[in-house]
Amino acid sequence: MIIYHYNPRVMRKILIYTLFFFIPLIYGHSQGSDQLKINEIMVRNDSTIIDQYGNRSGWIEIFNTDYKAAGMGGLYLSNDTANPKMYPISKNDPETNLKKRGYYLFYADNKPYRGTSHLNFTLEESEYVALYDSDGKTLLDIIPVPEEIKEMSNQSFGREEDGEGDFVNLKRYTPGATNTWKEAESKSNRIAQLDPYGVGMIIVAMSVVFACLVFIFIMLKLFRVFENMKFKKYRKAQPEETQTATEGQVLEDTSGEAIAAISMALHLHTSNIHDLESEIVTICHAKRTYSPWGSKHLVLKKNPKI
Amino acid sequence: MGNLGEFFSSGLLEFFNYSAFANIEWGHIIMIIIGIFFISIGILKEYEPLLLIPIGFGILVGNVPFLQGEGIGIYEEGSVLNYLYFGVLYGVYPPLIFLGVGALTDFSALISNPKLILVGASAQLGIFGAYVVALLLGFTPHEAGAIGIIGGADGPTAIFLSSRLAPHFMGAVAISAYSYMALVPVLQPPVMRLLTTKKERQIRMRPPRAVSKREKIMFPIIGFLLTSFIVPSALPLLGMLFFGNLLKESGVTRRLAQTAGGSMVDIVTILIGITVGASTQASTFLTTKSIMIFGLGAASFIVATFGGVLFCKILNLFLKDGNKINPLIGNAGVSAVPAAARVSQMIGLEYNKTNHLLMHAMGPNVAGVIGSAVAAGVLLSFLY
Repeated sequence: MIIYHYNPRVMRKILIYTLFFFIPLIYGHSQGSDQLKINEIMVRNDSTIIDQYGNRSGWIEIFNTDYKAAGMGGLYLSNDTANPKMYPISKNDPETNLKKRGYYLFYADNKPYRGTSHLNFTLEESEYVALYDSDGKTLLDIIPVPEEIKEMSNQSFGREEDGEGDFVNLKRYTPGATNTWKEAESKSNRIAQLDPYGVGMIIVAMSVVFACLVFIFIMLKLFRVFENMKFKKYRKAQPEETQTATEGQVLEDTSGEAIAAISMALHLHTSNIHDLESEIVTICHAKRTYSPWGSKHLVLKKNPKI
Repeated sequence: MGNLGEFFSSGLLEFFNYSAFANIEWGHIIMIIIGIFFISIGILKEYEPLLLIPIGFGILVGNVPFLQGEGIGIYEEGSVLNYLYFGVLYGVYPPLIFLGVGALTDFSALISNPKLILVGASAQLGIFGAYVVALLLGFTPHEAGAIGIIGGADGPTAIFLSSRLAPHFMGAVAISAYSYMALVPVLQPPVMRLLTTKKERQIRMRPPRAVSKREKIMFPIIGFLLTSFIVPSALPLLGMLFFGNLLKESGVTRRLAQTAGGSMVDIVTILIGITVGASTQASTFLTTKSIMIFGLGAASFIVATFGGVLFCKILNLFLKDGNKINPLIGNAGVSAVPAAARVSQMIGLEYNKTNHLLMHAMGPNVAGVIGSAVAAGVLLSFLY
């Protein structure tokens, strides 16, 4: 008969490990949702992206500002203060897990039966769009829907920089991509304006290239110093072999070519190779007809070892 | 019977419309001639045949006319060539080639005479010289950066950089870089002779010292950390180059080094050659800008040679007799390994039959590989 003893120490350990396992999961979810922002919206989508059904509709882009994945499952999107739980985001759709610095698009087409990415309201009827946490009360982010952009074709409205900054009419719509495209553009323009002839670039770039290679130069010099130090240390450690160490010193300063020549001379000397060859080479092709049928190892099968 | 004849005649007409004969234009013919020229000089003159033959045949593949939308062409999504081209477009192949280059390169010449590394740095002047001229000719900074890198004499680096800065010029830049790498023995000697005196060409350099195994192992590790900490944008190229070299020098990963420097680099060279060649479709390649890119490429090679040789002469002003550098190795600062070093050897022997410069020239030559990767990283971080 097995008797189970209640061991308080063991039970405490189990409890602690369980808490350690579950707390990060619970806390991690809430922490991840804090990092989600409404990044960009478009009300009148006349000729931009189409959904998986081939239709165009207003869209809302969510951006994960974090450098780790964040899940949207269980959060809510709404355009009504009285009803924050207007559109619950599916917990079971893996696509709602945003990877680090990732984007997700919702289509505001009032056709929620078409899948997770299709909302049950449209942007034409909205004054704002809000993202609520899984409790349906905590507001995570909110974006106004200005009346003017409802009239403007293909005009997107969003943050100047991904996840931060003020909401503005964006110069270019970027569904599922960064809003900060103009920075790269302006970088090119800026360098063209500030350094039209590229002289600054020559000076800076050549300095960097030289700096890199000068560092390697110093490193190689240090190699040499360390090698010499090691050699001197070795010579001090073996005072009885003064003669050998002196020879070593000579070898250290001798080139590879000289060492090769000495080695070859020693090799010839020790191998006693001194006969003069006739320097005539005769190549005679030995004709031998080969057939795999004659090969024992191909024809005979080895017995398996048991 | 009449219907059958009509069916076959209309079928044959449709078949003809699909064929290259119905779709050919003058541009295709010119490009096919260029492709055959590349193959010819690769086979007959043996100018960089390992590169020019795949590229030349790639040009033939890319310029057989066909009806668009059949999923055949290199720019058509889903085609086999498009899948292979992915490695070029997203910069996958160049770092793999650098891995092989690292596994094949012996840095002993550089380690034994560290000042030669500065010659490799000075030859990068060609890159930035071409950048300036390209800006003056009206190219945007992005395009000028992609064109300038031709002066580095490094095909993979040129592809890597142009795929990011100016993908629309990638074909022209890559073809230009590889062509001039093959033409190093033609382009460099006149500049070398022009800038040096007969006495300078006969300078005998001290033989390189023997380099210990410990130094050879430490070099890729510390060299990588130093360079990549300064220019992280060159990480894919430098990382692979030094990693390949560590595989070679460690002595315990011989199999990996053999694969990286043998079969793998061969496979990637085949893929990069054929896809870069095929990307030069007449419609995108035969433009005035492509011709300008070729002109700038030649100029950048000349400026690079000028920079390297002149730096050697300046360095000699500060060196004692016996330690002086033969300025003929200055041309090897471009990273066309070992073609540029062979040119130094060839010109050196013309003036002194016993003055072998090959091993000395290998120092700046391998420094040029590092230098051009660093220069690409600098351009990338400023312009991308």
